[in-house]
Amino acid sequence: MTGRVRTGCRLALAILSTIIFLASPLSAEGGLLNVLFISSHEAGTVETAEVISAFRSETAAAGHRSEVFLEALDSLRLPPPADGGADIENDLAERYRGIRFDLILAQASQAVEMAVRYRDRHAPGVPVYCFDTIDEDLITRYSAESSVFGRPLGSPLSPTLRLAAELFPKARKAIFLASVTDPDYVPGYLDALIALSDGYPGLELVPIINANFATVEKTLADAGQDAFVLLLPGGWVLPNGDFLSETEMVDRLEAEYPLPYFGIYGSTFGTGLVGGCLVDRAAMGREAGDMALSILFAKRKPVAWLYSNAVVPTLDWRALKRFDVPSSLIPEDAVVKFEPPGFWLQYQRQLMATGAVLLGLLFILLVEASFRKRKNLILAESNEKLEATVLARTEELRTANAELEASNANLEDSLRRIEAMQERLVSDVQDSVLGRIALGLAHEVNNPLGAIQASTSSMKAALVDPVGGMTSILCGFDEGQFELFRRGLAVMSGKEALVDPEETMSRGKNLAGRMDALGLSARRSLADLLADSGLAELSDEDLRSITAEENARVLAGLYRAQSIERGVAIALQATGRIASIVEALRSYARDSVAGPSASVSHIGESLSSAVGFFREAEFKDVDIACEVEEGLPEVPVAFASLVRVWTNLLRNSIQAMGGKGKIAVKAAREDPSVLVEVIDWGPGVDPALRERLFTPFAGKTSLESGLGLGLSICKRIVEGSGGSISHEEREGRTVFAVRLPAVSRPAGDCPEEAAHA
Amino acid sequence: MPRKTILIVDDDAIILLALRQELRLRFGEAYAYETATSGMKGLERAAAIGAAGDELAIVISDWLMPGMKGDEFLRKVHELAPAARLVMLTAHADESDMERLSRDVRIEAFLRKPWDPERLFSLVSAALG
Repeated sequence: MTGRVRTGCRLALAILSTIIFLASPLSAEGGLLNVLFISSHEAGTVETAEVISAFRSETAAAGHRSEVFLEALDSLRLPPPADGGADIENDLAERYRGIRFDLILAQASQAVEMAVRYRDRHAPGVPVYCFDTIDEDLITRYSAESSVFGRPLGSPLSPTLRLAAELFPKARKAIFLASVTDPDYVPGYLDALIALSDGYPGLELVPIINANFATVEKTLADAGQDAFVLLLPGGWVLPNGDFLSETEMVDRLEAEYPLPYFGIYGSTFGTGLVGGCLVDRAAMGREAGDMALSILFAKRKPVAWLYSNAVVPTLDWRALKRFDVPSSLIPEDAVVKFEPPGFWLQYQRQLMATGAVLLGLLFILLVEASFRKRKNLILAESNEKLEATVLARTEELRTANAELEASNANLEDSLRRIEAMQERLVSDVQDSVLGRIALGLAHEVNNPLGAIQASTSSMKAALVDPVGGMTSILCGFDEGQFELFRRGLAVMSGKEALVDPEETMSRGKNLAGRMDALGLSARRSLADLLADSGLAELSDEDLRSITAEENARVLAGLYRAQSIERGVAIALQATGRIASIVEALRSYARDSVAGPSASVSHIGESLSSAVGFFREAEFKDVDIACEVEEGLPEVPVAFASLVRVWTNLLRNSIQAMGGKGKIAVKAAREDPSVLVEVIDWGPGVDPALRERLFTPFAGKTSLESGLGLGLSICKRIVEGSGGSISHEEREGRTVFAVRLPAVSRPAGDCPEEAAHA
Repeated sequence: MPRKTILIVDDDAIILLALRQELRLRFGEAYAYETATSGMKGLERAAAIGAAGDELAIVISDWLMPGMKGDEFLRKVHELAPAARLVMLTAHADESDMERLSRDVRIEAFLRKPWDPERLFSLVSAALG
């Protein structure tokens, strides 16, 4: 069920509940009335029950709750108690000791007497309300009493006779059957009847009073067809002593004497009575309630003793049908009971409820149906749209597929071409790499070679040239010149032969200054020559001597001596350089062939080893701080190669910083790799070199032992193991970052290392 | 009298030492000998020489240097001292670069390392005389 249908149900239920609620009696709030109800009728019968119910409703409507204590005096009916009911009175007194009554109700004659007696003796001042009696004497007696009020019943005799006469206009006889139980009433009824019958001239009144049953039967037999019977309630005593109630009486008689029977107080139906005047007990109860309110709460006391019209001519529909009474004869104010349509009235409430439920259900069903219909419509619409969309999409897919296939073919073609190009490129690159290597190699080796060649040839000239060679110069010295020469040699010896040219120049300037100071003719070239000869620290005296014209040979000789020493030094350095270049190339070649290593190495250990190389005295101004994260995994690089990478990077940094400064080495995990950073605060890498930094011979060599291969070796080792190497300048620091793939779970941790001497 | 000066420019000091020594032994004090380790420094020296009133007779320069390359240096020094004779001394020869340089300025000679000393000497002598 949809939400809307559920709401419909709820609505129907609400309607139902409202109907039921409205139909049920309301409960009242307000004051509590204690009421003693003495009745001549049997307890629980309609005579008492309807009265009490109506009384309660009436008082409740005014906001008072009534507690009604019913004392039904059944026994009073037959026969009346000998002691006048004193026993009963005592019983009442006993039972209701301690209860203060607001009101006493008395229904029917004997109860009235009892009620007044009880009141006078046991509940003084409590008002008594009498109703449902036609006893005129009683009425006369008590109407004079204070606090006794009444609503006697108008006699139903006249209305009953009228009812019977109107329904059966052809009747000639009116048989009056009177009970023996109340002989006092009978004469009164008879007189009344006789008086009444004057109003019905065609009707003969036949009274049967206190007659025995045989007489009754004979009278009825003699009556013939055109008669009706009027019954007084009260019952009969048969000759054998059996008591018959009027109901039993009618049952007995009507079988044999099927005349219309009317009950003067027609209280029971279904007994064969055609009808009678029913006392409307509910009306009496309402009147009692109304009177009670007036008596108890009204400012003016009501007028007491009013006759009640609470009799209603009531007919049995089935009996009417039996006697074939035309409906036109039925009086308008008559209530026709037990009519099949009455069935509907009786169950009115239930039927209304059922009707409401059915309506509700119907409503729900209708709503649901309409929604379903709408839903179906929407579904149908959606279906159509969906189908259309699907068709469109399928078409689109087909064309897209075709396009894809075409582009696939293109791609394959391109791929093949790219592969071909790649092959060419690779070989080109290889060629260019080789080319670059060859270029770099040529440069690196040819410089030292040039130096060697130049120095050896000049050494030869310096020594053995017949004119300028030292041997011939030395032969031409006199003793003084020899001494000067020896002193010059002494100054020269033990000093570094390879002096930076800039340094030599500044020494030359100083010498010129000294010569000037000494008053010697300061020819710049002479000063340069002296400086170049390593004679900057010559004594002033010797300086004066040597600059003398005649001693020019000495200076020449000394220069040659210096040249020879320098030449040797140049040759030695140069050959050393060539050797290291060859070595570097050899190890480069070796490393460039090797792929990922089968062995694994420990990062921390390799770093300690590398840093250890720089504990030599020559690196005393270098501070290397090593920070290795705990539990680093191993890497697939041979230990020696790994150490080479670190040493090359460290050497590179040290060179860049000019041999002194701080280097930080950090090793940490950077999943899935291990990251090692070598950081220095040096001048950084020349921007022009940055692109080719890791290519062979990228940097130029200087006087120091520079290889130009170090970084490219690092790259070869690192990339061969599946890692990467990079360089960046950030925040004034030069950072070389090496990333190596992690291999296995680490075992143990690495010690922190700070290496400096 | 203005000194005739030979300016040698090479980033590798060992070349400077060897070359200067070689030339000095051969030519003695006929020349003044100046050196520089970079193109920039070479230009400074050339300017200083001019300022001192000396004559820049010969410039010998390497090609592969960090910063200013040899060919750029020679072009610039030629602007400073158009009379100077220019010699390129290089470990390797990039043919196209050398060709281009020759078209811009007159190069006396392209010497390879290691160089032939006699050839060098004859070049220098010619500049003297």
